[in-house]
Amino acid sequence: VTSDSRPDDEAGETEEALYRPPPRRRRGGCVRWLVGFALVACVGGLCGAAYYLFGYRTMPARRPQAGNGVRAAVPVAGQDSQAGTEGGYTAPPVEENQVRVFFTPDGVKLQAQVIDLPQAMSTHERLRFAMEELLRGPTGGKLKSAVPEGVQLRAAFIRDDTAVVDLSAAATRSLGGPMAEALCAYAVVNTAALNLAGVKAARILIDGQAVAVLWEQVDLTGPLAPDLSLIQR
Amino acid sequence: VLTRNSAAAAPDLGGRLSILTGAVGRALVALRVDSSPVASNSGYRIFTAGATLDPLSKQYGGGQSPVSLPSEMAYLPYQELSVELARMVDTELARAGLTGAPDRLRQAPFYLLRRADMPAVCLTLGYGSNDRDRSRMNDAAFVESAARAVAQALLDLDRRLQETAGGTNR
Repeated sequence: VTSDSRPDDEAGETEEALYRPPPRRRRGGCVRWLVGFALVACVGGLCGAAYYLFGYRTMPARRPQAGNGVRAAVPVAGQDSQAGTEGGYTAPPVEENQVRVFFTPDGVKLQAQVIDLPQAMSTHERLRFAMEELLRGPTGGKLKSAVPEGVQLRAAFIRDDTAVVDLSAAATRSLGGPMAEALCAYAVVNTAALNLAGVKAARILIDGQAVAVLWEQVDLTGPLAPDLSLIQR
Repeated sequence: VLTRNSAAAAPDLGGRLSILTGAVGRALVALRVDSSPVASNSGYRIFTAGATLDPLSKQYGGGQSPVSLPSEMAYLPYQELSVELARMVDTELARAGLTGAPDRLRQAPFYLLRRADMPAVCLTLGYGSNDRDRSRMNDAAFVESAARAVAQALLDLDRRLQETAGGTNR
């Protein structure tokens, strides 16, 4: 039986013709479906590959330990480092129920730990939580805090597109050298600025005051944009 | 021009900036020693001010218009020359046999580097927390070779400035 339909003008359809089974679909229709499906699969695959290669890869969340949903730290790789750092660059936020906090594995680079939020938080609470986790230090693993011990968080808030972090005077204690100073400054700045959508930079205050210089070295006269080049790939 | 020749006579940053502003120098090389809780970290590192780290830098034209820059953005016109100086210092230090840290050319928002009205770098000669670096930095021959390397880099930069028509030759 061919798939061709009979001409409509064929005179006098017989009863047999009326009960004739419907014509089979033509092979061309099936091929079209297959081609369409293949195209959709290709486009989907390309989009997935592009997202994987160029998009922001969210770091895997650390799993809470039993009885403690916040401090269950599993060191994870830092976010993909962009080529250099651009002023005004805003990294996509992590998952809504997480923050990433930057510590150092080697005194030269920063590495993020992803920490689950204990509950839903507003943007300001999220900033404060991230900074408190930073000052508390890493949990487990080989990470170390780039911020001196004993530094307290006095306040953390957001003004326009800048996170403002007010640290206690203990933050002014000498760190010994420029690399350690840069790491400490950007542990604070990256943690403050890379967790919140729309925040492009961070301003550090000491004891509620705007200071021009920290450790006689780091310029704090204005906000600092995050330094993604310091983050370990 | 040395901003200080002993730790006891160290002027504050404002004083050092005044010395820089009033000096006839054409470039700044700030010498420091680094330190790390990781004892194995070693080698020299060279910092330049980071225009790309400054969220305001784009708004002020990325260093193309020094006239309209506020004072704290004065480093931007010298950004390229500072990076060039850093590379020259790196080349000469490597030629002198000094060992650099793996990521030895870095940007950082350091006060003097941003405000110096000239190409400026901060050179950390090594880590005081590393035994090998510390003994090297106490070795007169090492210090001599490092000083010669920096001086050669400054001469290279000076030659470069003189060759560049309309450059920042003061």
